[in-house]
Amino acid sequence: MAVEQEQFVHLARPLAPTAVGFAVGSAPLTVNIQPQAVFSIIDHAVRRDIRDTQSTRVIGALVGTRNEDGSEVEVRSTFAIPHTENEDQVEVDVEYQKNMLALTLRASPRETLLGWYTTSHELNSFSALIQNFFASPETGTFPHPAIHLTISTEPGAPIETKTYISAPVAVSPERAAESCLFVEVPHRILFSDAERAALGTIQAAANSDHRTAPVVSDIESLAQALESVSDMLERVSTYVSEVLDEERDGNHALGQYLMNALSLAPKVSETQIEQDFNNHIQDVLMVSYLANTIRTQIDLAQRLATAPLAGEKDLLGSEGKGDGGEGTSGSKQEGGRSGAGGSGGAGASSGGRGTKRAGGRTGGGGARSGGQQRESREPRENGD
Amino acid sequence: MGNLSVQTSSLRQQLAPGRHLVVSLYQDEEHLLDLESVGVEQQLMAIALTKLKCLRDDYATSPYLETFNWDEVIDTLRELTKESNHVWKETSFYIVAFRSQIPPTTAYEELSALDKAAHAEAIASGGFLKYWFGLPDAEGRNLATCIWRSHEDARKGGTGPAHRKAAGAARSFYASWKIDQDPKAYSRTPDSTIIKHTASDTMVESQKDAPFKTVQVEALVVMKIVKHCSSAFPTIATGSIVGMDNNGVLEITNAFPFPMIDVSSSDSHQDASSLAAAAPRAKANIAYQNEMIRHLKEVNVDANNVGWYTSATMGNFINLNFIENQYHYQRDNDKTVALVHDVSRSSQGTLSLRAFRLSPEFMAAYKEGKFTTDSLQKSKLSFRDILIEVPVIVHNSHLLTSFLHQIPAPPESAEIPLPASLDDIRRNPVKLPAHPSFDTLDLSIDPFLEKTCDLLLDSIESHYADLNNYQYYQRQLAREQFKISQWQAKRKAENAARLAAKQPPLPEDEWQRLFKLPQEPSRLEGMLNARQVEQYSRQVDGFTATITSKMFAVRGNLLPE
Repeated sequence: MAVEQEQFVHLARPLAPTAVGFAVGSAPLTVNIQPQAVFSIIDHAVRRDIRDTQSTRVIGALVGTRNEDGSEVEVRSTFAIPHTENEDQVEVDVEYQKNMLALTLRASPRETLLGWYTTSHELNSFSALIQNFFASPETGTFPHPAIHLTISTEPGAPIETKTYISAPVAVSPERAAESCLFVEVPHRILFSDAERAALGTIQAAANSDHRTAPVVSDIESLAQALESVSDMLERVSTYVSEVLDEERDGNHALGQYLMNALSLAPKVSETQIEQDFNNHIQDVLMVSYLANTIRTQIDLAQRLATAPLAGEKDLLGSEGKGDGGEGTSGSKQEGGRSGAGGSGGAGASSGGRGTKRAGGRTGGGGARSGGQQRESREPRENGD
Repeated sequence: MGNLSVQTSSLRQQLAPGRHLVVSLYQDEEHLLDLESVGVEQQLMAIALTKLKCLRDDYATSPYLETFNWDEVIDTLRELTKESNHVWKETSFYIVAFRSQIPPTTAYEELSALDKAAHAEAIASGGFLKYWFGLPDAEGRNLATCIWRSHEDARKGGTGPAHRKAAGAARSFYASWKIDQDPKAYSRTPDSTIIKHTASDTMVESQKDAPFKTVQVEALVVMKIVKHCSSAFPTIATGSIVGMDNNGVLEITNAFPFPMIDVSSSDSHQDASSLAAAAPRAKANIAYQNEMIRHLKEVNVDANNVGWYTSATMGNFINLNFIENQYHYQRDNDKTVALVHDVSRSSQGTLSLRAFRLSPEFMAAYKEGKFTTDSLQKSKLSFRDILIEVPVIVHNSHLLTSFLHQIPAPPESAEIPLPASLDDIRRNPVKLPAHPSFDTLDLSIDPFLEKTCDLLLDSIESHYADLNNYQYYQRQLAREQFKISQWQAKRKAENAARLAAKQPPLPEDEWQRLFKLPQEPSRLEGMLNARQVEQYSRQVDGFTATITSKMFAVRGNLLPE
């Protein structure tokens, strides 16, 4: 799912000075922006410090991947950079940017610095200064162009995004550092399939008044989807019946489209459907049944493992001193656990467990002196 | 303060010359209490409280009531009341005692600055009568106390951004900290003053039972987690989350991934995966996390770790690693949570993001490290009590809501322009809204069933491994016990013989030294496995519910009655 921002012709990108041996293409540059990058810029804009800085905008760095020839870049994440700005000077925390970049790249080594963002559409000499910093060979993206992304975060206005790259231009050598030519490049916001589900929930939150939405279960979301599909079908069928009743004019294209859609319905024999249906539903129910059986068995095993059995209490009471404290607790545990073993064996219904089960039974029930019984068990276990 | 020389010896004027009263060590204007803003009782109390002095040097640890000169304060209050001819109404105040311990390395100045800002903010919110704080002792322990008009005011004063920031800093600075909130009713009448000191510790305990009821996740965090988990799939992705707890809601406002495990340096895929799963408690990552949080704090992100996140496939996350990670976090800070994002289930159209924490009973048991049959019988801990699931809600900021309304949504108006040709529709397809998601209508069920069966088989296998371990232990134990009883019988016979020969009997408990009983294996694995199976079966139940409804819908559609 891609959201094209606006349509314009992008002819060529400016030729920047290149490194020796690096063939920079003059092919158009496309910028793909992933939603979480936009989200985090917006978050940064919301959290900006309104007290000690005069500036209304915030800046940060763009991090992401670039394809081999550098003609397509993907902005994957961003991080904020503290900066202060007033009438005649701008200060960017370069040290912070360096550290933060290093930290970010440790978590995602395949990504690189791509450029920077700011939260106003204004391009001024400070923008140029920062842009040159991000495009420079030592601290920036050179030989690739640095991307500059601007997002308007004015309350009440639509949120617009624009992307630029720059070419060096200067009226005089000493002013070269603070001037450059911004060229707008096309960009789009790209949603991948993995994010669709998350976006659905977030969208649900956006449609509610409290701006919150619970994470719903599968069945609830199915109900919502079905409801919305049935609404849409309703709408289409109202439209069709209105056309049939000659209450409104038909539309050929729409009619054709609907015909095509309807013809996609598979033609299968009834018996085939019935059979497929039964097969599948049985599979599902079978797995569900098995899962619940296993759960019950393991639950039982757990309970038996820790449940004090009735017989053991007698053992604890009467013969507790028989062969020292250790011995009693040992045989008690054994009894409990063997019972568990028996139930587990039954659950998986594997044949070869018969002897063990028998052993378990005697162990579980047998609460008298351990000695002979254990002796009688040993050979069986060995024979198993 | 020049009017002390004025002839009137009124106590009130002596103590409070003017409308604004110094209520703390901060004496700037924004730190002064405006006496007009509170009632007469509070005014008198605030003035009397200027006499508050600390009596003991070990105030950081001493009992609260013995720490200050309350008697003197109350006497003053009594005199003040008499002097102003005021009829004292029964009034209660709210006291917060903040006990803390900072590591000796902390930059105390930074903390003071935060504290000052928070104080100014609290004064502005009103009803703040007195603030006193000491200096850290040799071990960095300290006491600070606030006296408020009411609980309501205290709560309000603690919600501003500066307090939030200071509280956040407290958590990153302090080695340990504890707030006693004494809901102390105080000063019934100046004549029969009672300072009730109900056990503040019990209150702290009761809060611990449910530190938060819901987890509120910012959309940004959801997207970051989803992205990280899906790009790392099928390896496990883990990361840290930061946020703040607020009135029973744990707000998660940001997240960042832990550094990738270098797969080339480890031997096999299995290793990389287990390393990734153990990442949240690895030493290097703890350092990374602290570093990152320190950096995030500079750009006003909540600098308070509230747990970690992990990815999962079809709910297979309940294992020892998960427990250990969460224990690692929850041990230090009770208000932490593990977010689990299920990549496979989310691909079916519904976001699967769940929040878990360990139950207090399990925390206690895990601390002991004993999961033997005996201890389990005693603590009545079952596999159902290991994890507590907390409901998750997703939250958007206003700005984000505004942005979201620009991406595909259902058409606004009922009338849309009709297309001129079929190509128009194709060229400009209808953009489906992301919510409700139509991916949930997908009919494929086989991969899901297959995967579930696989996972169930795995569980059965580990159940048997666990069982075999135990049976091995039993056989060992039986053998040892058999040997012991043989030895005892022999010794008994020997003793009988010696008795007959009038010799002193040999001691009968030497077997304890001679034989060593095998260690009982831990029951934890089995419990976790049981919990895991329970999770699978619930998941299958949910799946069965949706898929059967879909299947019947399809049949109803294709085979009309």
